[in-house]
Amino acid sequence: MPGALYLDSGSFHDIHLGGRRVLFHLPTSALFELDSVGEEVLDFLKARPYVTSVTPVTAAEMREWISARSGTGLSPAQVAETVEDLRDLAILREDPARVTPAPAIELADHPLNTLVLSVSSGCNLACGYCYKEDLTTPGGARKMVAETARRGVDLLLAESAKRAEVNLAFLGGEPLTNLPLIRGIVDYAEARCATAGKQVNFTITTNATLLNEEIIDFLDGHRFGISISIDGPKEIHDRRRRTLTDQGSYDLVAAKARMLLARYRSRPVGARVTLSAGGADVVAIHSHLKDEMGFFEVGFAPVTTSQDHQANLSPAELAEVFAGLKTLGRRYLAAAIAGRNIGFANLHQMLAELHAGSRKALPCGAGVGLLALDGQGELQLCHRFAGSALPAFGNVMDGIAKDRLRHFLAAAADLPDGCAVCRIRNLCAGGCYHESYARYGDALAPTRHYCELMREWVDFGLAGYVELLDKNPGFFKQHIGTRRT
Amino acid sequence: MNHMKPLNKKAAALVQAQAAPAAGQVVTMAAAAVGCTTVFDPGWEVDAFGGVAGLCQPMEADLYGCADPCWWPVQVPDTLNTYTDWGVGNDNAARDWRALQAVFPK
Repeated sequence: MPGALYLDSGSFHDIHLGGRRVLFHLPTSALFELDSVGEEVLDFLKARPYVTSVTPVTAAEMREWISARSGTGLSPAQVAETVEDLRDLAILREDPARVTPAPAIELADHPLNTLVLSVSSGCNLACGYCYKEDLTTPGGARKMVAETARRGVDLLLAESAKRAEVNLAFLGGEPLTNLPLIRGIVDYAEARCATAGKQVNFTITTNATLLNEEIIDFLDGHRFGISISIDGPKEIHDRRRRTLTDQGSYDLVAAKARMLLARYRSRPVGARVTLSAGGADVVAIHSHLKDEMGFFEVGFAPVTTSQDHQANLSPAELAEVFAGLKTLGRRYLAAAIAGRNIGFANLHQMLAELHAGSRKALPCGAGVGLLALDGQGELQLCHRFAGSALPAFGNVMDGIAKDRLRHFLAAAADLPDGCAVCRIRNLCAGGCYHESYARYGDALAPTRHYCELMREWVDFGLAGYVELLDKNPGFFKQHIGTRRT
Repeated sequence: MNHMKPLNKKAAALVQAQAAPAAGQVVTMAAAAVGCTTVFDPGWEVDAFGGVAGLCQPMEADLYGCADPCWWPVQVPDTLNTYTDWGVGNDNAARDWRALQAVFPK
């Protein structure tokens, strides 16, 4: 051991789980379990308030500590081994640790793999919390014309470079209000991709109201991945998901969704739930959608609104949401230990990321692998920004405004100081751009209203991951390995 | 790592990367002529990192390479002597592999 070593206390997060001690290495998202020697050494280092990034622990102090513990079975060799382990991870280092800035992102070459087509700004529902700035009724909608969509497909193919697979996602408004365009563009994309030797994959997010058997068979025939927007049982769903004439939409949506679930064969169908004020009972919503209706999985997202919107979850409700997510999470874990997947998308996704040890420099793929095309032919960061005041990143005529996009992504990767010391910075990376845009008017601001809850939620996921890995490691291979993250 | 057990895949990869000299030895062994695999030594179908990316050839593309010169690393019927018709008509292994059947001693 050199004369003195510095502890980089910002490079790891350690948790006690039952009798176990798990260390989360922040720069890599690697997870380790410490044995008793490792635990003792780490506790020694952490318990000394002066062993920080500015005051090193010296070899002499280390020797003193070891000799004071002689007789406990802890040998100098074991301590030296642990010190080596910690040095390998740069948790102990010879130079004082500083807050390491995230590596500067320079995206010289980032092929597109997904284009979202916002095929209509119109919707036949008028949900009280819709974030779409350009939302209209179907009659007044600006619909995407075929020429724009075709150019979008051409752009996606050209910009996908060597990628063997591309995705086209249909969103709105309500995308099925522009079904003729979808049919036409599916044919066009399949023909173009066959010529280009690429696989094309379609997805759609719909409110289900316009589905019929013929449309379902069309979607099935092209293996669409389908997400249905539904908020739960009738009393919760009808609170905000209402028709243009202000009727609750549950009865219609539920009937259509049941028909879809009974008829659809090509891929599992998921439910996407927006949690808003007065309807945040996560467990009851999941139970209704999964057990009573038969969706394959249910994903939850808190409503995205400006700060003072009436649909907003109050701080108390937001806390209730996270408590509900944990309750549901415990059910998910109990089932997972027994080898079953009860379809809780939020936790499932987090476990997949923890298992792989993903590390994010950017919160999502928007602007990197994904762009959205609106009806005017403008390219947006993602579908949520279609019709928003955030300037577009090019258009289908002139192509992607790559310099501006690169500049935006570099700014997004450069997290503010507050994030640089956060233990989940490489999992959250600042949070959803649109969430921040709607809340703070700045797409690059971190989603600060979630910080503490997110850290708790990730800790919950870490504990769940370690428990599941211990009790049923086969679950990851069977249910998570096959999922693309 | 002596007192830290890797839990997730990233941790395992990190440990493996740190043990690079040993990994280098395994790569060297894998690159040497070690002969065909047999049913009794599974494990040589994977590379030093437990994957298939580092194999001398991708095993999917290598299917007929495994058949004709009795190549490594996939077990396939002997198409030179015993099962000469095994791959007939299924020229593109990546596309036609479903049509390839198991064989049984005549």
